[in-house]
Amino acid sequence: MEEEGCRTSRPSADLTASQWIHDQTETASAPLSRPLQRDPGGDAPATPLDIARLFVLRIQTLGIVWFSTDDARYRDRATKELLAVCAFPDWQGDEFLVTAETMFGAAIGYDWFFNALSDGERQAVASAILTKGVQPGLDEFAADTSPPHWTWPRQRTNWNLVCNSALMIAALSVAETDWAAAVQIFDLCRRSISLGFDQYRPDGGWAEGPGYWHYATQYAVYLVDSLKTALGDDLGLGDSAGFGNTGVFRPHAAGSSGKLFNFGDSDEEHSGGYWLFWLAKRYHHPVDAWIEREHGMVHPDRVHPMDLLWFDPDARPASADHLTTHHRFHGIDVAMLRGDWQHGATYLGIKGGANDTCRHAHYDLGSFVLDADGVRWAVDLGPDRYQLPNYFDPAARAVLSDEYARP
Amino acid sequence: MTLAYPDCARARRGFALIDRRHVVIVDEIVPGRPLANVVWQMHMTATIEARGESVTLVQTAAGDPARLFMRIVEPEGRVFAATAATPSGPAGQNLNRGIAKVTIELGQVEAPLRLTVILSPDEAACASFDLAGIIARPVDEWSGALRP
Repeated sequence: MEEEGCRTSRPSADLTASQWIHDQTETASAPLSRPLQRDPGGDAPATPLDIARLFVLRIQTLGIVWFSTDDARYRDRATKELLAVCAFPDWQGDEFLVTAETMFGAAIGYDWFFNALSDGERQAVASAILTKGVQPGLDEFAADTSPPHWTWPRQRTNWNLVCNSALMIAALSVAETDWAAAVQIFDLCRRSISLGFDQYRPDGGWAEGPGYWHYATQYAVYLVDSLKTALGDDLGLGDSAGFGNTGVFRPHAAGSSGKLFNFGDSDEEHSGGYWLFWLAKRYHHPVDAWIEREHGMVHPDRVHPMDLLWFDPDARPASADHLTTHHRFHGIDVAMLRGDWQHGATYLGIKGGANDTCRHAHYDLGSFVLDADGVRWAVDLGPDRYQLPNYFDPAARAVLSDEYARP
Repeated sequence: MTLAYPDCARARRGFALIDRRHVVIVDEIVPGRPLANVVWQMHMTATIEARGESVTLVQTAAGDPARLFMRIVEPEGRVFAATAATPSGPAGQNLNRGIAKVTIELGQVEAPLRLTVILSPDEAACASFDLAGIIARPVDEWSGALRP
């Protein structure tokens, strides 16, 4: 991800984007008492994943406001955040996603603020990425040797795309510091990530449901964009079968009540997705930009700084973009029907295929959601607590299918 | 859906969107051996105003009440019921407060059975819908863009 993209095509001529820049600048200007702490304490304890995500958000907010305003205060504050997190004793949490997301934040921070760092600070950041991110990543690959308990390097899940993408972006950021380690992890991830991209085959649907589609696609887009800007070549990943069409999954998965067809472990609530702007531009699919633009206008508090980096003013609504009112995703055997693209139209989301097809799938073959007159009438129960016994154990779930059916 | 119901020789479910507004769901069940009890169910957050072979679901969350009308088109003599959606399994699960199930008890099924339900926000259309044309035929004979 290259800040030049933002500098050369600043979207400030667009009224919506101008407002968003203003809002992000206000966010970035809010007084922060001190940089992020590993254990911030307080009344609302944050999980390690919360802290990792807050770190990434601060880097992106401060960085993009700095790109937009040229005000060095935002850059300087960002480097403080970066150095504080790099000084954490480790980037571990209860799962490798903590390491992956922290490493991603550090890698883009290192890239964006490189010129503002002293030699010693550069050394500290690169060393942290290598020892607290890349090395634990190599350890994950080394430990992934015993079926049937393959972990994310050999799983066709959102984890595969998130962890591999973060590691590959980290490898790009420290290649000049430790070429051997960077190449080693990059090659391992390059082979593994084809499993993750395969999940978009053949037509862009996502078996884990629209919630995990968001998470996986967010990191897939980070990676493809980073490869293109760093190497001038996305290694063919952007042309993976189904990936170029996956933007169409989002409008079809959205019911006319304003709620998602939340099969798999997904929630009903729409979340924005700044990568929709990227997909819209990269694959000439303007309805994606329209969805994200509308979401930001309805929920201005949820606009993300990356919305500005990838902002695409060429947004067209589904009704004007020749999207059909019925669509079947053959790879996951999910179909959606709607009367038209207006709010309140009758909408059906239908789950076909098979039961329990992936980690976040349910015993929901034949289930459906139904919207009419702006109301969700037939609901999907969505996810339950992941800590429940055997929630992710396919063999146990087959026995417990009555209990965990959650259609 | 045969894959998910090993006691069925065949289980098919067809969905039709009629006139862009009304939904018809057809289940064709061919038992492989006598089925002790078959229950059609749909999770909902609505309340039920009436019972019988027709039912009205009501939601008032967004101002004026919204209504969805449902009717069992076939077989005759079946009725809707409403039950809690409280899970029966391991402790610690979401109790699904505010969610109920609208159900149709089919009881023991020994012979091939076809269940057809119409769901529509239009009361008159729901009441007057007759099986005709393509929807009256077996699901495998339906034509349409999304037929498997």
